[in-house]
Amino acid sequence: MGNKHTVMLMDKNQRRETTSHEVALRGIALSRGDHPLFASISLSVVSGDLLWIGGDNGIGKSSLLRLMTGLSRADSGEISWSQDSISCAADELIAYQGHQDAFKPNLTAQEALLFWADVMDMPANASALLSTVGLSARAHIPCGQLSAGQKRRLSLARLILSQKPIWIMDEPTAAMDAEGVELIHGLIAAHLSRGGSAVIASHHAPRITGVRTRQLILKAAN
Amino acid sequence: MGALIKRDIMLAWRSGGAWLLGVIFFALFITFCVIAAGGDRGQLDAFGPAYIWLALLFATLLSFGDIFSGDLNDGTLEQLLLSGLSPLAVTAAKWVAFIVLTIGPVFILLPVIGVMLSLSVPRIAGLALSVAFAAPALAAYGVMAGALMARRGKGSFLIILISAPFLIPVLIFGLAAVDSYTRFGISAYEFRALGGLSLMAMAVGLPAASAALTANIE
Repeated sequence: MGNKHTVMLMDKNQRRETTSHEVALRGIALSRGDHPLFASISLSVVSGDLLWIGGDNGIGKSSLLRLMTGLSRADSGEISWSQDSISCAADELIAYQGHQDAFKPNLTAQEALLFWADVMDMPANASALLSTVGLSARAHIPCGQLSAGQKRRLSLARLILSQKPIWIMDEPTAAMDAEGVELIHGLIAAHLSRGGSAVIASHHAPRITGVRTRQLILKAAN
Repeated sequence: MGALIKRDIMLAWRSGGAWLLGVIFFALFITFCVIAAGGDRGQLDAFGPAYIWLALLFATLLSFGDIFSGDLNDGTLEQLLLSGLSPLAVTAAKWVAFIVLTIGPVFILLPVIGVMLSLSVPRIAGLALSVAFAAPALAAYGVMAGALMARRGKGSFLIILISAPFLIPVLIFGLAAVDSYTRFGISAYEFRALGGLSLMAMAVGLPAASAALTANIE
């Protein structure tokens, strides 16, 4: 299974090997209502980077991730996305796995993947993607009947499908069984080795071997 | 954009008839009007087009709340925006889907309802044309109100308050067009007014809806 996805991704992503990308945050401040979440965060994520964001519940991990996807805006500070040192739009670089899986209960797993491929204008080999994430046997099951973990797997398939260089993942291992956690770590390692990067928010540090992991632990101010 | 329209139609088809709520309401409303009017032929002939227009407005109002709430609340919308679709493209796709799924079935029902109200054929034709000219406006204001209120959940009465003022001119010219059609045909000025209203609604409603979506995502 592992070999299969590696091979499949390699041929599609050759153009990525020659490019470098970066998402850079400078002096980012964000508050939720009157309650400040963080005052000044500066960091940058480049090709090959794995950034792990940890911290207690409600500390602002997800908010920080959403800022990096470009879906929400910071109160102050600046975020820039660039490819080969030329600035570009966030949606050219970012693939996002949020809390919500964004699959319609009435579409089968395969139909869901083909829909997203259609939206992204990407060639899709749905059966190969499904077997990569271990859902071959569920291809024709409506998403509404998939378990939480299976939906997470399906959203992993969407990440791969997007062929974007920066994966932003919010609690990717939530609801995952041990094998699923291994799968995620394997996929991330393969993604990084191809020059991709990943930003992960979770309570547990990801155990990905052979990868330089940077940590950002958010803590309450007092 | 095409993918999203295709998906919406597929989802509607599989929803177990939920998408027909608007058109069923449309038919029921008119049936009740006929009963309330006591089946008096003269009265039905005079007020038939008004019943139909009112039923159409209420049926569409009923559907406005569902245009975006599903996709916003299950995270589909943010994935769409990260997949390279602009908010305006999403809005336009929803606009097309609304015309096809909510106003489309009304067209199919219109001849039947017309016969039920014993309207003459030219008046039924005038009705169909006036609805066709007004459909882009109804859908554009619906998409706008739906996008503004998508976070509020289903059945928000604010949607009705927001869209009602925009729908009044459409109702006035839509009804006037039915009578004018029997005398002047398609060249009646009311049809031009309706067409103008529709273009204006698209120019205002679609960008406003896409701005509202962006604000709702944040």
